[in-house]
Amino acid sequence: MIIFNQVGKYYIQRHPEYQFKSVLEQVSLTIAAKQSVGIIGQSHSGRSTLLKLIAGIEYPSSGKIQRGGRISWPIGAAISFNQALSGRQNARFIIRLQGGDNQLTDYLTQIHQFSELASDFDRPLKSYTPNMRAKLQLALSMAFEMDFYIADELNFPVETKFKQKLHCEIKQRLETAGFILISQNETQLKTFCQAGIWLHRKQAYWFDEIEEAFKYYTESQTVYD
Amino acid sequence: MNPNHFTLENQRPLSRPRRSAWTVTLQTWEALFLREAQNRLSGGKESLWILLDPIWNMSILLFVFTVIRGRVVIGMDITIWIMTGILTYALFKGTMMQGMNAITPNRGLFIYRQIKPMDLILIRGFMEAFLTIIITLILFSGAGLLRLPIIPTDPLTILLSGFSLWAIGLGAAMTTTIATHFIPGMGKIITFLMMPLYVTSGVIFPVATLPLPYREWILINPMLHGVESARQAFSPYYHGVYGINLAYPYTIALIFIFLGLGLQRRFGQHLTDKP
Repeated sequence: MIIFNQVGKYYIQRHPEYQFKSVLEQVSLTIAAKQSVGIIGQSHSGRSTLLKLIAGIEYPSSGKIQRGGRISWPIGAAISFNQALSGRQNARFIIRLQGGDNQLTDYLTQIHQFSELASDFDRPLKSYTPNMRAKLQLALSMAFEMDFYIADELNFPVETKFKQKLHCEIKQRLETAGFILISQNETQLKTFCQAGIWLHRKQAYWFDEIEEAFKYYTESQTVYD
Repeated sequence: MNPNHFTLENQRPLSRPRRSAWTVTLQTWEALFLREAQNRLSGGKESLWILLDPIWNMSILLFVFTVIRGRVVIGMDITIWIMTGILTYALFKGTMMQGMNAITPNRGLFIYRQIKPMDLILIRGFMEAFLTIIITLILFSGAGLLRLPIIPTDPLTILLSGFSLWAIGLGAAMTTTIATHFIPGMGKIITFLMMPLYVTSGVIFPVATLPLPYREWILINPMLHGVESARQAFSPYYHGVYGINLAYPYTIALIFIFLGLGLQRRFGQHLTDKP
């Protein structure tokens, strides 16, 4: 359960001049457990900010956010890896961070398997291609049991087969967990999400059906373009 | 098992217990500490500098004091005098600089909800203390092999002096991370300020030899009190500066830590925002 109560967010902008830049204002919404939500809106409408607030990466400037349950970090997000250490050593840090100390080897085998990195898993991160890096990041994201998975776009530089596996895995997780997704891809949003949040003019509007959110979104595009 | 062979059956996530807030914090600190240790110590040649830096500093000072000036510090072996100064001051400087620069390179870590800016500063502080203790042990063992008088008379006061400087460093790090985030160019100013602080801290010359009005002005520097206390505790015959009081650096440390914690509480959330 994630509850937003009158949440506002502004950033301090330094260039070209010093000013407060408001992104979200007075946003109130409730995301129930196991609900899958798609966030839609124009670019620069604050979708990523909303997701960061949900994930607890950034704090609201005003209002309150309550979270019940474990919320993942954005799936496949770039993690500040240590370039000199191997994929396995970097994975160990994340497992410790998530409190998986006592099942360290189990987690490691799972991450190793999912990432399909084979022997590259033990090579230093600086030798990784973007493709391998993305695979490791995705494997780390999918290794932990969460109550909410969140994702800022699902475009990763990985093979179609791996992408299918990932989508399949996310679909399975949705039986027991919630999912919050930002995507440009309409069909992707519709396959993963039931409900929708439409961000428009610093406000968030909730729709129980994502089709309806898309209706409003398209309408707003034609009116204000 | 072939890692390329993938079936969905063996990919269910391992179930994990819900953790209390305190457990989350402790496990975060543990993970960060081990990561920091790996960063600092497994870097090959760079890691060697952790030990070489104080040795290099010591060698230069030793050369200046014994070969060029030929002067003696009253009541104490000159090598030990230099070592205590450099190592206690390093506790302040290392903790502060490492803590101050903890946020920017680790910004990517904030995608994990459990990591807060304060955690990074604290862990770097603990890491610095841990490393300084190890370096101290190594250097003093080396000095012992050279038959220098390495047994202190009052070890507890040495620990207290070191701790006071470490605490000032930690408080200053908490304060300066906020200051450098909001005031452009503040990082440069702080780096400039570190130089006079170092010169007047009594690490590189015996402050007791200064003429009178200046000797009292220099007592404003809290680092001097910590450094001189450590020396006095090492050798009771050492003639330090008159007016050394260990309560003074502790007062400064308390002020800085309260100020730092307050600032972190009020403005710390902005540190996780994109710059």
